[in-house]
Amino acid sequence: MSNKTFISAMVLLIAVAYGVAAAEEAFPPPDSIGRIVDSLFIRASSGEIRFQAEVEPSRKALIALGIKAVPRLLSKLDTRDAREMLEITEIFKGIGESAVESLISVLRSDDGFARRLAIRCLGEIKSDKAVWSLQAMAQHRDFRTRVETMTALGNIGSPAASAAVQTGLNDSIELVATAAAAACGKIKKDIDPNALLAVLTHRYYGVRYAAARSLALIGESVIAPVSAYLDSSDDINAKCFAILSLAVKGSEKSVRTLSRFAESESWQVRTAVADALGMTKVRKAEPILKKMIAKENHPLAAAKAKAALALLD
Amino acid sequence: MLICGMKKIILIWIAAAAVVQAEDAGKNVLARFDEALADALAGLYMTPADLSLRDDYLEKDGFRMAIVDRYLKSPLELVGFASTLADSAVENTVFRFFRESPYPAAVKPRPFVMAPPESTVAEYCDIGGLDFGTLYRLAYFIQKETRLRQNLTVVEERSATFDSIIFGLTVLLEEDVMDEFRSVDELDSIQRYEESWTKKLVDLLGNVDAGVPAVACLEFLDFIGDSILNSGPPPVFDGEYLEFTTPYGKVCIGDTASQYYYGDLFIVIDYGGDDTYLVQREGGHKSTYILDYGGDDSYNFERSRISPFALGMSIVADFAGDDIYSGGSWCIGAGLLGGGIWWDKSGDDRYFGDTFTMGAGCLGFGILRDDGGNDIYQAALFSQGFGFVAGAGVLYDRDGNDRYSAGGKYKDILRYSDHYLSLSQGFGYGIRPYLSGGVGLLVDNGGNDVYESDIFAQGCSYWWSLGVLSDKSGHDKYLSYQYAQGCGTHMTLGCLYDGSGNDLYFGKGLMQGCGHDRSFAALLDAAGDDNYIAYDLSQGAGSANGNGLLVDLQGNDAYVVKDAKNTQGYGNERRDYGSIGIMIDMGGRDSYAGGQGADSTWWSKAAWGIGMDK
Repeated sequence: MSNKTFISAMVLLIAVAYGVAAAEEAFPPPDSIGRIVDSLFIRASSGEIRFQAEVEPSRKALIALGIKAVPRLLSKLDTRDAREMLEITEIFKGIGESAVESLISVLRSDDGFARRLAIRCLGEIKSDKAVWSLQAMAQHRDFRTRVETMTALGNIGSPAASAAVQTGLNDSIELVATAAAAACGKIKKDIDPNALLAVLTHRYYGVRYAAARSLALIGESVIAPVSAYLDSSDDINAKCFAILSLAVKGSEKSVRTLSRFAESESWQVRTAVADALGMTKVRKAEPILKKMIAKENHPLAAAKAKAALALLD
Repeated sequence: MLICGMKKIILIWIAAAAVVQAEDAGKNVLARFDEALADALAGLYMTPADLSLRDDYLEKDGFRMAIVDRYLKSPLELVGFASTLADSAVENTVFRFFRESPYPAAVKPRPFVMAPPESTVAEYCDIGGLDFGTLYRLAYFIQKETRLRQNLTVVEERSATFDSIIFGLTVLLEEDVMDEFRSVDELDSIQRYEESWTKKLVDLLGNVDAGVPAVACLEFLDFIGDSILNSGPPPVFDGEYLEFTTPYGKVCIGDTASQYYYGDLFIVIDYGGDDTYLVQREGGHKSTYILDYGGDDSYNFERSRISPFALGMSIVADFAGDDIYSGGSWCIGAGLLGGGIWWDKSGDDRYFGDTFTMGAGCLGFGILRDDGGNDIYQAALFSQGFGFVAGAGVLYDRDGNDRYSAGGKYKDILRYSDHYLSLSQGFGYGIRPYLSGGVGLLVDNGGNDVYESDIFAQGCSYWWSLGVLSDKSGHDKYLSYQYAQGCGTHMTLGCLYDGSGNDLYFGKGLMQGCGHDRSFAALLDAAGDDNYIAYDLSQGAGSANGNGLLVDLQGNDAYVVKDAKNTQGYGNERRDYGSIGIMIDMGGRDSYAGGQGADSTWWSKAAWGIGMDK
């Protein structure tokens, strides 16, 4: 056989091999891992009520395949189907740490759906390994990617992301700021309460609520700055959110601070005080609430005070 | 004047004094609504601005109706729109969608350039010098329409593309009763097939002037004047029945005897008698024009899988008699890449259809208007005021005790084994996440009406769309099961407005003012002693960052719910923040059972929900 013939034969052989590989990828044999993942995934993500019994076992089987299923599952990350998105998140959450590197590789994808779903999965896996890569996505030009990133960083809860989420509070898109405010409450450590207090006047209620709740989750360390904020703020709605941020579970110090506003002239403030006192679940709030109920003339504030009292029981 | 504009018709429809009075009353209702809402929101430490939603939670697809974006950003304007709809000529609203509002970006309308037609209908109507006045006048604008359509085809040089678009839209709107017997793999395969067609449609629609048919419809409407639709009968034809064939189909001039019109009907003018019509048109790009001036008539449209009227315009106007309209799909006031107008001026009429019927529009518009009588409307799916992609569908009934029924044929196999899809009765629908939806309006101006549906209906929408049911007066019954009576699901808008009367609202869940997944939905009842019954996630409920309002401004009302935890002013938490749910009753002695509400008090047991009874 001449060299020329040999080279031609080799080229042909390689071409055939590539062809077979490509055909297998497009039409994998029935027992291939791809076909198995596909079949299980159809069942796991089926929304029809008739097939609900197949969902959980199929999901468990996919999770049990672990890293072997990951390549095929990655190819499904660009789905536009809401049920498939939910299911993929559940499966990757189940597979866990071993899928993290593969998911990080998808963050560079130009497909917004795939990129955002990968971020969501990383957040659900809660791996510290993903924080550095996710932080890089916090400034992504697509605001939906930034929203997913803030949520994922919050779910992971690593203090390494505290600067990134606090920067997110000032994002021009309110959904990013909302997700960032919520993330602050999950990370807690190294979060500046004043950064959260500054967004209590935000134009969007989601940001205000998330910031107030995060302050309450951070704990007693926020009471002093919140108290100072209350003394200086004139905005009734912002004041109410600041009061809600004093709903620190089990904190007598919170109850004492809240009691200062129990007789406010504003029925909204009194309503917020009643709400917050209930959420502290501290027994010492009982006499304050009883006094509020006795004197209260606004139906909502009275109803909230009664509901708060019931929470203490 | 032989030809006059549509605006003249509108002026005739609306007596000026009545408009002023209605607007005053409307403003009064809206002022009270705004005031009550601001009060309730203060209890959640919010302002009305907090109800605003975004138009870009996902990348915009280019098929978005401007009116949808507008009301998402200013949702309270939607309530104003719904409350004044019943006092306005709804055709005006259709005009607003297609002419005054910016068109969806991917649908590129442009000024239409008239081309000389190769042949005209008028040539075929010049018969022996007889004065077929009405026919001539009809022929005049049909000629225009024909020119428009010819122009469209010539300009695009791609009628095959349009055929593909029509087929694709058919695939998306068609349901199959056999689906409930298919395997999970078969259903998955069907879903993939539909998804592939959706993607194809996005490409196809982005590359053609798909807006042209709708613009052509408007041109067409401009030429419909008093001379045809809003005037008395034409001079009585004293000749014999006449029939001839044109390249466009059969032209029939009837008499006062009862006739049987059948086949490839293009134009029919009938002066009286109890007539039977069997319209058998095949292929696409067809138009049918029927003017029937009297008698109890029966209209039958042969069932077609693909609309023969797509890319065309059709008018059926029946001036008197108790009539029966029976069609399968794509007819009875349906516009698919075109326009369809059905106008019944009087009589107790019955309408029967399957899918995309009774005021349904996609890339165009469909109007079904009935001016009087006690009517029955019965359809399966996508009907009775249904708007699909870049389209508007309007069912407008001016008077009479009417019964609207939608559903009962195609099972909602996703959610239930024993409930049926309706997606009708003021319903807007888009394809998630590829194509924003349209605008569906059901407007009833008077009478004691019954609205029956099952899943998705009665002032509701899905995916970047708008659905409104507006009933001005009468003691009405609204019966449905889920996603209804002022409901929006997935970044969309729904509103049910009832002006007066002692009404009954009944259903299971996600209704009576329920916004789900970044949607806004409202039920506003302005007056009357009303009864509201629901199981769960209803009566002013927000879910997954959606906002839902139930507002009753007057009367001694009763509210019954089964689940107190998520009804009557309830908002749940999703994505780390809340959904807003508000229930307001502004007057009367009211009764409550099963829920959180009580007469003359406020309540708020959920962080983002509030109830107020004054």
